[in-house]
Amino acid sequence: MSERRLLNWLWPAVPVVGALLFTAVLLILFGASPIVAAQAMIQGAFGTQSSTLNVFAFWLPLLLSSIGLLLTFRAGLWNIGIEGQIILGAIGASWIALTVELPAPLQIALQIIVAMAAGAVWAALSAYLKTRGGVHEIFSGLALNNLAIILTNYLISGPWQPPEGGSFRGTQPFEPFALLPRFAESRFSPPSLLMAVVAAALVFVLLRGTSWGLKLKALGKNAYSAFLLGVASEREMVRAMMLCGALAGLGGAVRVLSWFDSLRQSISGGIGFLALLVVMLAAYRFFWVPLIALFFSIVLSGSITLQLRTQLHSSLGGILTGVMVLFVLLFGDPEKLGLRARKGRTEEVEVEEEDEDEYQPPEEAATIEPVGGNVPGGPG
Amino acid sequence: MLLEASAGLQQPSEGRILLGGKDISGWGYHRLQNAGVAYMAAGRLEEGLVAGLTLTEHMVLAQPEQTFFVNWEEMQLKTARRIDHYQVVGRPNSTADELSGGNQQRLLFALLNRQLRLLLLEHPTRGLDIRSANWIWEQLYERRKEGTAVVFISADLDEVVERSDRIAVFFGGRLLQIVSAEETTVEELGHLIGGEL
Repeated sequence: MSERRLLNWLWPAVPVVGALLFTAVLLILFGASPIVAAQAMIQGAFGTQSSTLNVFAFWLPLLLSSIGLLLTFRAGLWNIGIEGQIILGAIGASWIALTVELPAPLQIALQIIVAMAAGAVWAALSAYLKTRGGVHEIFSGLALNNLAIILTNYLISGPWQPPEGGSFRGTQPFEPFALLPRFAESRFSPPSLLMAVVAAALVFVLLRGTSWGLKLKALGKNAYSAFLLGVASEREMVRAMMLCGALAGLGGAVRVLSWFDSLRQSISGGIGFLALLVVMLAAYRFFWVPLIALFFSIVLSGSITLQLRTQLHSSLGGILTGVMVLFVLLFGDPEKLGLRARKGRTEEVEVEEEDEDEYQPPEEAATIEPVGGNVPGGPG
Repeated sequence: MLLEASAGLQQPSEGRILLGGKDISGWGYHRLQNAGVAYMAAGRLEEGLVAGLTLTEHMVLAQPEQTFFVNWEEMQLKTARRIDHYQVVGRPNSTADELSGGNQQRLLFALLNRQLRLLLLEHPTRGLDIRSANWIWEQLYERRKEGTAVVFISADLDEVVERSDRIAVFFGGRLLQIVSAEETTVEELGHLIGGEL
């Protein structure tokens, strides 16, 4: 039992190692040395103090979004709209930064609150389109992502353009009192780390210890049964989306207030999509999320140096993360590969896995032999 | 359909639904649930239990009033007592899909709250062995004694005649007749189901 649990727990590492090996083989085929490439990547990420801090600065919004996604994935929702929720958070924070002048702590607090509210509202749109309009959250999310990008472009080229004229690049830099305090000339801001830790703790407690977390779990596994058991499914879905949106919005605020110093054209830079990959790679397991998010940050920060050092294109980092996710989807579930021993006959009666072994009407008589199903070489 | 409408899962296009003389037409499922109406569908793992959740987790979800933080230890004990009382073969940490069909049905009964006004059941004993089926009927008789109205649908005509007080026969989407179980036979019911008065 404990061996199996250990295997279960360590399983997310398997696709990661597999993808590393695959990328290494790819490099060798192109006549490059994987070791040199890895060295360049690590050098790029951790070579100087500021590059190390930048890895963490990139990590924080990614972590915030990934943690939010744990909630929506738990409820069985595909919150593709997270990218737009990050952008809306960035817009919300920028709006306050450009229009309000308060003492620094209040200013920053207000910016963050507005950013979280904006992200939550954007997520609520997706959620209500699902519960009231019957629009799948993937489609509404994609549409809202695009709308968020269009809104950004409109703002930076229109109402919020710098005094010297619209450039499509960004707004004018915010006043220093509106920015998050940064650490030693880097883009890393310690208060953001604190907020991320608090957010992670909050989500952990919500998922583990509260009836709300349990309701989300039930919704994600079987929404109709959960409804029949008394879960107000629509309300809880909206809440899960809104809380995820608020965390994404906070991530967006961190992006404008410490990574950049203004609202830029590609303010999120795909962090929302990256967060989806992080959570899938972590197989929705809480403790893997920060580690994998950090790993992604290292790879992506290191890729730029990689190009300078080795003439390998910086998209190698993207290839590595992409292959990794592909490997997760292929090998992510040890049960599908038949590597996990069966608990007993009862495990065959699992509705979620209807693919190969037919759903057996659960009978009282315990004499039916388990059908081999998707266990290669199992008793037939 | 009739059961789903009575449970508030479907809204009738016309007509009224009364519960104890009170008009409940248009009430939603959860509102009726709070008013003491329970609905047990035929698909135990599809429409009732959540595969992958433990018995304790089911018990927490089925509580009429939930605290924000779950007291897992207390719920674990409560679940242990409840499954003991309802003779569910399983542990509080078992998941619902690990149980056999009969035990899943027992678990559904264990999750029902006390003092129901109306209990609606779809094929309550389908796929169960005789011992489990008899146990289910004991539970239902006990509920009836407490004053709960029990309405069930079954494809087993012997069961329908043996276990009911009154039988409503539908044909072609319409209520054909309500007969007294004491005065009818399986043959007569068979004819009625075929639309022959």
